Amino acid sequence: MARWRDRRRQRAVVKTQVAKNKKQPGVDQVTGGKIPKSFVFARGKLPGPLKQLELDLRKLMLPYTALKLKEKKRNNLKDFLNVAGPMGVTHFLMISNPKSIPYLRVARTPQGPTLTFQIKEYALAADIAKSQPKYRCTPELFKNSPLIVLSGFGGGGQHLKLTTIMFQNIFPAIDINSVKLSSCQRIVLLNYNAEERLIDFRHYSIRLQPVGVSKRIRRIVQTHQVPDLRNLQDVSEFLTKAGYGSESEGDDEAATVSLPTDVDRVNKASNKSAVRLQEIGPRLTLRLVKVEEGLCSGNVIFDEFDTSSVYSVEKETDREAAEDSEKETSEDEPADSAED
Amino acid sequence: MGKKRAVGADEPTTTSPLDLKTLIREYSLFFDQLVELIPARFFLPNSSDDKPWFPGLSKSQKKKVKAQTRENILKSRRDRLDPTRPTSTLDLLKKSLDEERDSSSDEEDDEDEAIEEEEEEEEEDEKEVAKAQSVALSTDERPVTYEELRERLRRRIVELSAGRNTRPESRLKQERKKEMKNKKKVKVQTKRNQENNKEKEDASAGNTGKRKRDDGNDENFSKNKKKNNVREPTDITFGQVRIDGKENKKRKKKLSKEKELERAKRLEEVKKDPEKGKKVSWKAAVSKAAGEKVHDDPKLLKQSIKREKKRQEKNKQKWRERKETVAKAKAEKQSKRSENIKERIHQKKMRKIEKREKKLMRPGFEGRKEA
Repeated sequence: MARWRDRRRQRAVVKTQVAKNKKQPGVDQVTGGKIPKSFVFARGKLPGPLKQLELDLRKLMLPYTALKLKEKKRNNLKDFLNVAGPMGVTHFLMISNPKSIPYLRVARTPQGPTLTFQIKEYALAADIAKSQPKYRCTPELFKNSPLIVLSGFGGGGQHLKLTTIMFQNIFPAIDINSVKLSSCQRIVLLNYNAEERLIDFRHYSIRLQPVGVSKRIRRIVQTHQVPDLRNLQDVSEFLTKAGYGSESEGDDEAATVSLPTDVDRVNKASNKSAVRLQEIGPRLTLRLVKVEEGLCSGNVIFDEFDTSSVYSVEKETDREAAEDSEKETSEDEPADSAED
Repeated sequence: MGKKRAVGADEPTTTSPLDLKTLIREYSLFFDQLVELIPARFFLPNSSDDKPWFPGLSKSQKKKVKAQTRENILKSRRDRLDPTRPTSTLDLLKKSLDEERDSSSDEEDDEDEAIEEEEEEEEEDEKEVAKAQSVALSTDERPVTYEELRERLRRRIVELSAGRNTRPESRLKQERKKEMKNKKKVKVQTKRNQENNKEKEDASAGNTGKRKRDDGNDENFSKNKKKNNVREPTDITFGQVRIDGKENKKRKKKLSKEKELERAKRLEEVKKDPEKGKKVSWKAAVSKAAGEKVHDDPKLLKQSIKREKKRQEKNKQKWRERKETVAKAKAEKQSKRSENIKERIHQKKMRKIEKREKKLMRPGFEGRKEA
């Protein structure tokens, strides 16, 4: 009886499912740095597609996230914070839908800054899967963290710099000397469009294919399956027929890399391999709206829309145009387009 | 019987020259087929290599010979799968016969032999089936287009390397540093947009050693597909990468908490000031996002100071108690010890008195003095 009462009284019911008998490392053995872990959860009630988006984002952040995080209605941010401390969680990704506008907030746990993005458009992983004829997404892809590449963020503005640093630190660092090429299987691309001030967020799976090997031979080596020689007169026909590198050799020169180590049975060291990306996972178009100093609290140090605030973009450019002393950033490009 | 007659019927009674020729031709074909069935290894006389004698060689010689055999094996494997070379026993036989004929005629001239061999081979190539020809044709086509592509690539590289120093200076130092860092191992990201990829590929080809980096994703992803606006993006940043084993950044000196508190209070004042305050808060936000601990909240610092004080108090208290208990225990033990010693002395004395008295306490003794 007492136990039942205790459970009723328990306010913070934040359950996280950790894999049995497997404790996630807190410190990366190779690089020695702390491995950043994240929680992806929703604040407030979300409609169906947004809930799916939340699950897709959780899958994206694997393996260093709580996949089956259960949040109850009465959980506050404080509850999550309390749990995050002992578990070593460093980032929170929160999806909310106030006034039917979806927002994504990326925050650094203890006291860190919060970046608020407005989700202008999004596509779920399921939609992308249906749109592709050959969608390949295995659970093995999610055993390692993705790589991340940001482009177009160097233009200007402290807010862009902060965004890059934030995203770079969400995923653990890789040690060049000892990373296994076969463990880099996913990649996240973020592209900043300066004219429209939008960030495109894409998630791909990486596949290496040896160049110069015909499809049939490659297939035999990878899957030891006996090919069908029914319609052929001779084995040599099998090898020499359609024996060109690949049908789509157009981007051959650009997309090939010469591998430093063996990746798997077909991709060997010092051989050329083509890198093929296939899109998996959600697609987002974000606009950075607000940067706060604390975790969803504190000063607002960047505000996209508010022209009256001291730290808005337009005012910044005015001040900089007047002073022309600060060397840090050149906000002129995006600001000019905004002013236009 | 019928069979025999049939066989007999094949043989013509009168050997006209035409029939004879066909006969001979048939027989020769039959023998050729038989010869083809035998592998060349067994049929042709082994004249090229004198039986190699391995056991009597020195170490270096053995190494050389081993290398030679390895090469021979590879060569023979390659030749076996080469569709243009003669593989059937018959062809090899013909070839060897021709060689013999030539060698008997001109023995000294090696070059002539070589030329003749080539000629023989060419003739044999011509005899080959259309399959080989078609393969040769197809292989001829491919180098041409490859060559073309390579030429284009080279031209492009030269072009861009000429104008490389005129790149816009708007790139931040940080990104340049990062690019230098990421030279070693970065994977190529591509999409199937030939032209853009190739351009950017050449642009960055000079920068990297082994790996080629590709900048050409952005255009494909941006919603506004202005083809005339295809600019070459010069700023790409990657995730965190560690190159050296341990990069020790300079350890900031750790100030005491009181000093930090004062510093935090000062910072708060500065933050109120719009200009500098903005700078300070951005700096703090950036380092927080990067994971470094920034102590700039006076409230938290006060809390932490308080906590530390309490901890110290508690420790003091514990130490005091411990000292007390130790002293008490010591005193107890000492007193017990001294008690025990006293007891013992006392007991000794009592025993002596006992002994003395025992003699005088026997019944009927009248000499006892005390009453």
